[in-house]
Amino acid sequence: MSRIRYVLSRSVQTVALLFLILTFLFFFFRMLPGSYLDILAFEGASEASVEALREKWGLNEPLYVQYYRYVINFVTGDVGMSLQYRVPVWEFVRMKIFNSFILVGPAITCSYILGIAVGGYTGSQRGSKSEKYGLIPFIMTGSFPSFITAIIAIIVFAGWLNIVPTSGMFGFDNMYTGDEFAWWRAYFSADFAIHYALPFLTVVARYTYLPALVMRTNVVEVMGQDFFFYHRMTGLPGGKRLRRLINHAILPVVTLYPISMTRAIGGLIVIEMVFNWPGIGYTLVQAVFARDFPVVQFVFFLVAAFVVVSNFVVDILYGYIDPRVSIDSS
Amino acid sequence: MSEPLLEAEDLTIQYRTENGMLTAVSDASFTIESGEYFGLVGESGCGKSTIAKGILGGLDDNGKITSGKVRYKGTEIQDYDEEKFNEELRWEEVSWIPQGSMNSLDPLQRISEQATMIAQVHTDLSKEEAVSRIREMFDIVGLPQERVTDYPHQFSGGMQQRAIIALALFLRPSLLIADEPTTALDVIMQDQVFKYLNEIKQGGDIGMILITHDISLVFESCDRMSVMHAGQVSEVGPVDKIYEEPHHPYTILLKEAFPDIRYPNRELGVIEGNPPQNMGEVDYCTFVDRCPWAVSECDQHAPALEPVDSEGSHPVACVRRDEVLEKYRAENDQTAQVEEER
Amino acid sequence: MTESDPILETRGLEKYFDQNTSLIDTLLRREDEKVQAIDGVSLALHSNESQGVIGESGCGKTTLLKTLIGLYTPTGGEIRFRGNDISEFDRSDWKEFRRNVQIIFQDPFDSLDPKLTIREALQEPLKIHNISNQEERIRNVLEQVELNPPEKYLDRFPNQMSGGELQRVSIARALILEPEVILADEPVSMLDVSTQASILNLLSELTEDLDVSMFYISHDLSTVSYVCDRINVMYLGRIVESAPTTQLLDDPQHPYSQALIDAVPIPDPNYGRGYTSLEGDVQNPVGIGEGCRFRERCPERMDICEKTPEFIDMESMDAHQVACHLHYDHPTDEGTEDENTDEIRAKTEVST
Repeated sequence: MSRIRYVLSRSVQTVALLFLILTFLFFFFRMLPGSYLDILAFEGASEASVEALREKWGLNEPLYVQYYRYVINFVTGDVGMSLQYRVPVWEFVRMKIFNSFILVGPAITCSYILGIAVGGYTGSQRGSKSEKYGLIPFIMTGSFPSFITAIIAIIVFAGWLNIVPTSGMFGFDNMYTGDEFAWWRAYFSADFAIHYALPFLTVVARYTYLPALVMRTNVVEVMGQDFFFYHRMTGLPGGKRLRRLINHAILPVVTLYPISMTRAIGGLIVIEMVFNWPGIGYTLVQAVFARDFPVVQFVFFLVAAFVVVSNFVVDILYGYIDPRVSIDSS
Repeated sequence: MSEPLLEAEDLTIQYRTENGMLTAVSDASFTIESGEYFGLVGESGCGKSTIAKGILGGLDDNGKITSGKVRYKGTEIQDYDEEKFNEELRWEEVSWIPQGSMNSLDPLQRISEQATMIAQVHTDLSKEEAVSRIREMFDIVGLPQERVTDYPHQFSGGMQQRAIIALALFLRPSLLIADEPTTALDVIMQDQVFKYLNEIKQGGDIGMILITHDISLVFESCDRMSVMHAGQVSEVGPVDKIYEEPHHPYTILLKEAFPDIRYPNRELGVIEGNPPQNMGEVDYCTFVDRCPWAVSECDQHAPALEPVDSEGSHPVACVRRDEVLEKYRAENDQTAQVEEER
Repeated sequence: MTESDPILETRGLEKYFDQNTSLIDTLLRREDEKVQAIDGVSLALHSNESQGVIGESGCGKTTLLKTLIGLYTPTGGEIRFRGNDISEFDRSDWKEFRRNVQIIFQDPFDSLDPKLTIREALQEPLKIHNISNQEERIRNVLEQVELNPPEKYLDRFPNQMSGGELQRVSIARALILEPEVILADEPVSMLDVSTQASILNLLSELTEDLDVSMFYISHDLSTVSYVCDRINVMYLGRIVESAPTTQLLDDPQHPYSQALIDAVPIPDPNYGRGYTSLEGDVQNPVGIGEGCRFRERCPERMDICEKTPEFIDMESMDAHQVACHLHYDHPTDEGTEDENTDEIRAKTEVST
């Protein structure tokens, strides 16, 4: 029963937090100097038309009224209108979200799988060279700022070796990109794959060190525990003991997974800019320059929401995978 | 005369350290019969736990049985590799109760899951059969049967220890090695555990090595015993013989050092000094610096384990084995003092 | 203060701990269940006396120790040092208290700072209390604890010494301020038997020779009996029996004391002690409520045990107190005569 109570209370906290974030973003962006209207005026629009727009968009109303309208709209699905493109923000942004996630999701997942494997292996080879030195390449690539890794990768693989294109998500001649119904086919093409390779590798290189290091430490620690020795004395063969080892060592790594994911999303701006990858990072940068604050606000909110929700999910899940984490006091 | 359950013959176990070869056990010899409870008594560092681990192949990486033999039901096992230990010996034949069980149960497994896993490694038992067996054992050690599906952290310390005992017994081994099984427990819990261990002994053909520093436990629960000091076996024999006629100086003094609640005012015996750390070959008696009856010979070679009686059931490793007890009694007027207490 | 007044005493001492309550619990006005770690403990330690407090894990003896030394603030009752209530102490009173009430811990490797040499560890209390001729005092106290010659040990670090030697240093550190009271928390349980004996002997001698009183807290009845003149038996936060050592061992009045004594292993294969008949574990101390706390496991349980027994002096025995319904007369329902325990027991037997 207490577990359900815990889930409920965490859910309420999560929703409250999201709401708080939304409010903060709203007021924060309204307080920033410089609005889209200023840009219009700068570009030569007449004062009358600027004023008309201002009226039309309800920007003359007091802030709290704007806020109230905003919230109501938000929860009913209308997240605003892009000022640049005059299309609903959601329309504008949703494919970009997809492009970002399709890059970050698999990349972080792979880096975790790789990190766990490498960390697990080096940890189990106590005192050997591989334990001491095995993680060095990952720490190196993890320490470089991602744009440096990205640029190096481009120079090497696209420049010298010429096996992948330098940037972009699709080639110009990809037949599916413009197609309204078969657009998704474009993502399965070889063209997509070779454009995908470099940014994918860059993200993996950048984020693998964390699960690797943590896993290695955990493996060493678990191997020194009494219960691990007990497993050996009960006659468990190596394979089964390895499974027990992994079950234990992996738990703290799992909690880091959403954290790495959110960091990657944060760092995505750089990678998307370098590779010209049309994701939300790229979009965000553009929108900031254009003072398109509905878009900016929504993207910020998305990222924040992702962090909050993924932490919530891990919190709940952890209570299921680790029986020691008791929500109730028994 | 059937063969003994376990036999150690001139067993030497050493550890490779930075400072050289540390000898944890030196030329230890003793036998354990089927269905017998055997007590191995000694202070910390005497090698008793090392022997236990050595028998089951659980020595640390830098430890090794460097000489001597261990025979289980007649077969030599000292050279077994990890695989052979798993197949032939561990759990089905010889099981183990570790010291401080709170940390030995896998925290991510229910007791029933751990039991099933062990059963499936060693036997053909189905999952249901394994769970049913562990439930039986829970009953015997006084734990509620329903709790086999609990996780270790849901048990108190005393109950964890009993769960570990249940796990050690559920595949019906022939030999149980109990390494300080009750040191971490309160006295009433300890008594409950020994009550169960005694019932188990009545019930079946299981032998036990009880490793402990508490000689009272051995006196009360064991049939035969051995006293160890700094890696050497000082004395072996039936419990009442050793109680009434201890022949090794260490045994004599050790008995004196234990408080007896029947005589709370009896002055406790003190043993001077500390056990030595032995490097390399041990060609001296390790008790020599602490022994009030030491002579020059004691420093020149390791004393052999030779019997003080005609049947050979009471070997003692002391060159003065035939005289020390008399000397001690003369010095202490022990009988009179005991009479006075009564 | 006269000779017969206690140096350190507690009256109805209570220490309750709160359980963590969540926001939802508070909103729903759920009563938080307290852990009654110490519940109405009254002890009196006189000068030159050693008293033992014995009990199993969870009985509250460690909490008692920490409360006596001032690490915990009592939630009820009072502690008096030399007749003065310590809750009314100001800073200088506390300093005086700390100088006179010293503590020895269980694990010598844990309780001595590994970065300080023995000399430095012993200097520390002297510096805090601004005491002069430190070198001389340090030397003397090391001799008192039989670490001879002192020079051999002064510049060593804890990891260069054995458990027995270190525990002597612990004792030296406690003695160096010449306290009136020493609180000892299982001082020998981490030591080997051959070392235990010498430390126990040392403690006995010191209390006699140096006019120091001692509270000795342990779960091991054998060692407590050796050192202490009087023993208090504790169970789940309450003292259930208090008596001179030999009297307690010969003729325990409380069923728990009896069970405890019966469960101690005897170093004699011929004694034929017989195993404990007590089942189960000690109850969970959370939210334990009223009534005798031992009743769930007591072989002599009666209906009246649902009421908390009072801690009374035994009429028939000297200086012997027990908290058990078996041993005192209870007023009947009519309120006129007193029932004695046989009548109460008869009533219970008839109804079952």
